[in-house]
Amino acid sequence: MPEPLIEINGISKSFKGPEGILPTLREINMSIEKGSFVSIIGPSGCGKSTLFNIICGLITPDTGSVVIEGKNVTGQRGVVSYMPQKDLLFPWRTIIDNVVIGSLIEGRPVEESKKRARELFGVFGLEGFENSYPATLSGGMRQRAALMRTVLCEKPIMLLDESFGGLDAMTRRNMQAWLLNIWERFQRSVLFITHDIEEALYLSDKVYVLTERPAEVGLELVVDLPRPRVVTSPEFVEYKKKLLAALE
Amino acid sequence: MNQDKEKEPQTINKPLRNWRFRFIKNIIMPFSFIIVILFAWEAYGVVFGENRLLPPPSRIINAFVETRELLFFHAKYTLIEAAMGFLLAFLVSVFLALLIDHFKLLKQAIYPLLVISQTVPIVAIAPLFIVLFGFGILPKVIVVALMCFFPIVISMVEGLQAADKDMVDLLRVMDASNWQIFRLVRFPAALVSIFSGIKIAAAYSVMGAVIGEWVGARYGLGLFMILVQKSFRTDQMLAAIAVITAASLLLFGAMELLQRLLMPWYYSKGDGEDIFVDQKRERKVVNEEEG
Repeated sequence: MPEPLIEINGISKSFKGPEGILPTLREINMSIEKGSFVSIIGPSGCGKSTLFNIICGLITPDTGSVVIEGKNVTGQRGVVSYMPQKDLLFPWRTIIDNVVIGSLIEGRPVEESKKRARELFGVFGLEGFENSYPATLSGGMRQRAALMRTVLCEKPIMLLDESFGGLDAMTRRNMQAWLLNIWERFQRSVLFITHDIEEALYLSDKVYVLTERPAEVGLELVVDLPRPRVVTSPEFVEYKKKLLAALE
Repeated sequence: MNQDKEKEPQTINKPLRNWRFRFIKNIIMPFSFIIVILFAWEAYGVVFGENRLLPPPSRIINAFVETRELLFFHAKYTLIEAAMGFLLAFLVSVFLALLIDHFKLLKQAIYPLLVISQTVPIVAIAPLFIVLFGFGILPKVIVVALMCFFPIVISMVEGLQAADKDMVDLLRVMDASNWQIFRLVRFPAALVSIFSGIKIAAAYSVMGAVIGEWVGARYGLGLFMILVQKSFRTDQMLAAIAVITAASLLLFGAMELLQRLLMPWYYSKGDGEDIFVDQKRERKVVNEEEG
């Protein structure tokens, strides 16, 4: 068993709402092994994004801690790389300038990052678009550029927040298969939020199911199927039933 | 990924078709409309007899040719005042906008004053500047600056605050400093808005200089207009107005050009939309022909 890379220990968070205190997360425990692909599914509005914001360091939890590689990083920024649902490419920067933004922020030599980025444009299916502006790219291409930016942040873990939620079904299928390629190639751990059960099972080593608000971990399901997975296989369908039952 | 491949043929013939479409839309349409109006105006003079108060375009062109040296002599001063006032307004505006943006409380304090400053009739207080600063160039520059700074401040403050919050958060996750967030997201995001303000200001600036000259000057188109007005030379007056219009358009155009140079990304997007609208329209025409 590989050692856990990220541990989320007993995280709780409440917000002050118009009707008093609104508990959002309750005693969330999770562990993500090095190099693994872990998904979180749950009903919409259950606090998945709040959990992500806590791991990113944008919000501090009321109780609990985030531990990465043995270090307590609760409330710290710049320790994970994050890819939101919207691609959030800066329209005023070309694709190459967009994808190296992480090294620019950290003060790493940008020219070196660009050199490395150029070699990756083929892998990300963006060859020839290095100097294009985001507005001239299709939705799928923009999403791949956003993922490249996330990869080039050079963090041990990537958080993907419903990253394919805005894409049409066809593009989404392609993007999932291709994301697995990228994941295997770069050996990064991925924490993936989705509300699509099939997507979670197709991609993940492990799936966490969150319950309705206040969210608790309702089920921790290790998906022990070889890749590439066939969504219509009986084993796959068995897993799907388990997840559906947990979400009821 | 098939969808991406389909895009390619479009990108190949896009520039050519786009160019034709834009030429018709941006050059032919506005100019032909102006020419139609001028011809109608001229025809009115021919049919109903010439009117001293509204001389036809041919008379105005005549007046322009006759007085061109004098017009250019005065226009030079007006343009210098307009440009200097505009530049001063720009510097003051950027300073004020950054101040307001940085100290949020200041916005509540300064904003009402900014709005009030725009309600003061400038024609009424312009003579005060003459008394204070004399007949030279300075009072005119101040009048121009007073008229120009408001749109720039407002557009910059609101542009800076309108930045996409998610983009800002993306950088915060990367542990970016406030200065990095400003430089990489908030300022570029505000540029569209800032340039709207700058273009409004540029279009006002020449008029501001003329108002400044109107209440007292040694040189300038404002002075020229007062002189010809007193001798009822409406044709020369209108010739001067044409020069003012041309100068305003020149400054406006210069700002437009500057925006295109500084924001190529903004226009690359605009092109995409143009071609799209163009294609849809063509498709509609084809459908109608078939139906």
